[in-house]
Amino acid sequence: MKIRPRSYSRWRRDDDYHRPRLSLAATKCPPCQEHDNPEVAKDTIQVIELDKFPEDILHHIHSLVPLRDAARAACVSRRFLRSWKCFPNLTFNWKTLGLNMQEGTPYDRAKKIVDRIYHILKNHSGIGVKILKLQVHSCSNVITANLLGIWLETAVKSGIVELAVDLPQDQSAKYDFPCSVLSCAASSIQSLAPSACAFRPTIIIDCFRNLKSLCLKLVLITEEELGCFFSCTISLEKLEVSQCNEITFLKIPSHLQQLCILRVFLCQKLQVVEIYAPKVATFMFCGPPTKISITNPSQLKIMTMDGSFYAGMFHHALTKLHSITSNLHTLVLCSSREAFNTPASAAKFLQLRHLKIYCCSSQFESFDFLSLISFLEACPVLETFFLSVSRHYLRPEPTSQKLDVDSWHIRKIPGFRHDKLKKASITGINSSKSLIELTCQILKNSSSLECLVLDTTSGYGNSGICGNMDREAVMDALEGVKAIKRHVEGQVPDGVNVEVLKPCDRCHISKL
Amino acid sequence: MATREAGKKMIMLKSPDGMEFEVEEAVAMESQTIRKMIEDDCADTAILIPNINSKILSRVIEYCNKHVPTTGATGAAASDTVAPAALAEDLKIWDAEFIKVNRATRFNLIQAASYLNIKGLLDLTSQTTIDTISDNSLEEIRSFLSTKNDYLPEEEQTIRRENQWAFQ
Repeated sequence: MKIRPRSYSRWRRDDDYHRPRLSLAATKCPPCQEHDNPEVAKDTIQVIELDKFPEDILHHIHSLVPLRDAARAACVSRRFLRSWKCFPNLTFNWKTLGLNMQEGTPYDRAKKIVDRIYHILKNHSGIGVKILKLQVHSCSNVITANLLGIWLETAVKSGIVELAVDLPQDQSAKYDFPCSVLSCAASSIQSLAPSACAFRPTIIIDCFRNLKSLCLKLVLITEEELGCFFSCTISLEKLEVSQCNEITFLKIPSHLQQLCILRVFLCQKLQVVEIYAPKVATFMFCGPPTKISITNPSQLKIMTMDGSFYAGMFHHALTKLHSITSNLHTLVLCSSREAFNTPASAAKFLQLRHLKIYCCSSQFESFDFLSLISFLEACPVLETFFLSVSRHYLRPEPTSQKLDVDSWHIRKIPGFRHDKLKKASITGINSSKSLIELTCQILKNSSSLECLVLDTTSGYGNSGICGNMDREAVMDALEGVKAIKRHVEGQVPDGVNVEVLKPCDRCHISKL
Repeated sequence: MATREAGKKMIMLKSPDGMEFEVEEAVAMESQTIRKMIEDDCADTAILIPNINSKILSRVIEYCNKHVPTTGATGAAASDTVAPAALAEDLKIWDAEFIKVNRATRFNLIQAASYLNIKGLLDLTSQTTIDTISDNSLEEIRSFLSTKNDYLPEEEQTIRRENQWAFQ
């Protein structure tokens, strides 16, 4: 068993090292020196000037330049100006518009953003726009519904591929997305993402035959209106319905034959999700335990049930989800509270290979982590098991229990065996007795286990950066290391690699 | 004239200055333009590539040779033992070397890539030109791109005023 500090150096990435340096050196020097060997040019290659390039090549090159540089290039020559007037990628946000977010009041900045967009669109021909992204959520009180209408009318024409409108939040009643502008873009548009507005497609406009992605966030839309919009689409592959609080019953119709990824997040009034689309392979849900039905669950491979702000998701998953998870490979569960310990389950997740469980609040203090064994029992072919206990919030148990690591009686679940589990990882493991018991149970009764990672830190994903831990958390992590040494170390079977991560000396031990 | 060599179909490409290049069909088909000709059965005899001289054409073929998918029997790219990521990395480094050419060659390559419709090559050659637009003053851009300022002084004033934000 290896115990090593979580290394602070792992987060350094060497991306830049390998990135080919394409050009700067070559282009910084004045023309006709070094790289522009005049002899070569004269002898064998005819020198061509950009002025002689066909217009479409110039447009292509110009279109690859970021917005701000493209606007500057418009001042180079008339050809560039012509190209600028049909510049295809109009992504507007404070960054692309060259704004310093440290400067001025929020109102000043909003005013500047809106002015710049106004000028660019005023001079744009409206032809050739492929992408229009209005990322102006920081511009409350400056953008009027009228202005939005004018902008959309200018830039949304046949040929547009991607349209995203990200309006100031908490004002969704203020903006009505003008659905009429979509009619001319219906045949070309592939991605549509209105945000923080009312989107009421009540009349069937046209067939959105190429629409692949629809993302509705903070959008006022009823289920009838959404159904009406669905009836105009055939090729949807990705759908996100996020914080759409008028929807109570979300029905994904069967004619969406291509729909593969479905995300439903935090729709407050949502009670039922019915999926008739036959090929949904990835389903991500965030909200309280909700009734979900899928007519053809055989395609569903990846599922996330995120109940981070709600109680009871583990219980719900184990007791209610098996009917839609017959072919599921990967399941991610988050919960902030469980009223009951996880019950033993008769229903099985027969194909599940990967399971991740996140306990993300302080309210797991009385939870018996050993009961999570029910999940392993319900998943006979599980290969990886990941458990994260958000230790940041987990109140340490009363001192009398904590100090008593040596005298713990470690409970066992008789008859538990797992033959397929290869890799297990518990992040945020501390001196909580039931976590140590779960660890021992997995370690001793999983015949295929190759690797077990016990992370006593707050484990910040794959970034490898030391999580922020206060003194208490560091103490508790060290206590966890002690409990692991006392109760786990002696139990490691041959051939199992157990790795224990403790707070790194550099970031944390100085706090003691 | 399509010939066969070691089981691979060969295509003859001809530059306007009379040079002929025999290349594997798979390599030639990196060019969408040539692919279309082949698919439309217009490639029985040598394909004449107009406006692209032999020096540029040979470089284009060099690029296609390197970038043809791994099933082609060209160089290290054919090895099954190399991981895809390492292969991509290898290609990137190769591209970076490949594009170290003078401006005239680069502009010719852009034109060739555009005519022959080779997206990777067009992006690679364009990228270098983009960098000149991104980091320099108007005068520098004009000089790097050999493009003339055809604005009247007052016109330039107006257009600069309209895009003032981009100079801040």
